[in-house]
Amino acid sequence: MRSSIELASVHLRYPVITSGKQQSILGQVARNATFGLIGKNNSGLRIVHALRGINLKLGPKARLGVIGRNGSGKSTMLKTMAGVLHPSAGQLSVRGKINSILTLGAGLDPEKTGRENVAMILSLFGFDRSKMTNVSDEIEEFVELDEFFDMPVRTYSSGMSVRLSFGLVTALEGDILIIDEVLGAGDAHFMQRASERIEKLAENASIMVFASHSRADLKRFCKDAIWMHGGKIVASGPVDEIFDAYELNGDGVPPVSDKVKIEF
Amino acid sequence: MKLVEKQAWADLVLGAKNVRGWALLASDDLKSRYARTVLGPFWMVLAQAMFVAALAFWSSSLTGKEISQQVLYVAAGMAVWATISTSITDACSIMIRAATFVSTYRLPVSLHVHRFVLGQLLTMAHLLSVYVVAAVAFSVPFSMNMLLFVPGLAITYVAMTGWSLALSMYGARYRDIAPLSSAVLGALFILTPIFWRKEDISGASWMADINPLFHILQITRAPLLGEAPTLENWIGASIVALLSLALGVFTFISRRRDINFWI
Repeated sequence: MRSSIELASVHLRYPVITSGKQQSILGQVARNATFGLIGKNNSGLRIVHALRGINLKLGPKARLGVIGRNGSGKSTMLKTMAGVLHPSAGQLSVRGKINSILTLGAGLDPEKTGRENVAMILSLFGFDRSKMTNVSDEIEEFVELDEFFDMPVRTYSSGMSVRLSFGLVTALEGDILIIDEVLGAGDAHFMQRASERIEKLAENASIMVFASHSRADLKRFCKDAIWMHGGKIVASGPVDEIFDAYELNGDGVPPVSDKVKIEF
Repeated sequence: MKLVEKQAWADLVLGAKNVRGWALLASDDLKSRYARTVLGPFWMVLAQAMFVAALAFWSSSLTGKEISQQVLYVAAGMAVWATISTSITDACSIMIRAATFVSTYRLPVSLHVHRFVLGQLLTMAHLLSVYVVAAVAFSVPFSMNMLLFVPGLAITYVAMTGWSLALSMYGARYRDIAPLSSAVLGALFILTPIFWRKEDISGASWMADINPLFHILQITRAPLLGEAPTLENWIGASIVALLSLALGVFTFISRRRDINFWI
């Protein structure tokens, strides 16, 4: 099967809850029943328009880097591609199996040991017993937690949790690899090993999308890059070219281009 | 069908199919409850036993019925009622409790609903131990009607899955549904024949008949007591289960898309 990801004018809006009243069904009923006379001030739920018409086509062998300032919509776009968030408008179609590395250190049970956490997640993903042992051993070797691998995760430092989490999610399978800025955590030694591991995954992946603030990392993994600003793709092209333009416009006002390449 | 709806269907199907996954999660939940205290969930059983004993003593002195009969009646009724009412109030926080999981792994979120319903069934098994001990102590004879517990439980399971699907979505969006439902259930506990019998208060029997939870209660409780549920009970409970499942599936399909924003 040819893997592909296609986004056609994808918009994403999400609510920001700032008050418990916004999560009250009684408040909602009162507002509806009185046509907003009661509690109309409480309904001011703020909506963030995080993606504003994203068009993107990725085919086999696409290696796409994503750059942009904080809050430009990078993570939201990756989460949408990965199927964690769903577009509010527009179309998203994905062919192929996705493996995404979006958040690290979350989704571990603090009371369980590293080994138990790994076993749990692998079983949920449907690994059978023999395969599970192999994969678990491989993760154990990679994370280098030594005796901590058999201790509860609550005893881990945050760096150790990240290592375990990274080892675990990179052991899952998928031919579409979506990675969001995860190489920043951990010590230098681990970062080195982590990027080697990503490289290995990238070799087997059909499509890779990688968000990062590091030119070196982007150049290592990606051919092309897109630059996101204000929830839109504002420029695209070879990594170096885009990164140069991005650095030149560090103040956050990208040149407006109406001919952004969207197929990779 | 829109893409988001297709994705929600896929979530529903994949979640239900991953039996090994949710069975593992449910048994893990139970294990962690055992890990925390020496008695684990048996504290709950102990509390249940005390409650049943006190209520049976009180109601037998009030109605003049034999205490053994009251103990069995209340023990069976309470085990089922506690399961039903907890499955309603706690279903509101299914996704909230699984939040880190839901946002970290690409697993169907409906997995957590099945995990929860199975967990309720495991809890019910614990609570029923009070009834079983009482039944053995009072040497209750075996009756073929007791086998009706199995289809009764199956219908109850479908009903619980339905409202858990719906409440897992709405409970995350509206956080006051949980306290609201426990307030309503508190009143229903008194209004449902659990420690009184429908025939005891003839003027109140209509109250039981229109109470959907009474029929659900009756299709599992009556068999435990060696009685056969009435046809009305079977029909009422089946309608409740089907409506609940339809509501659950509909809510899940239409709300699944936004769940990550609310947890």
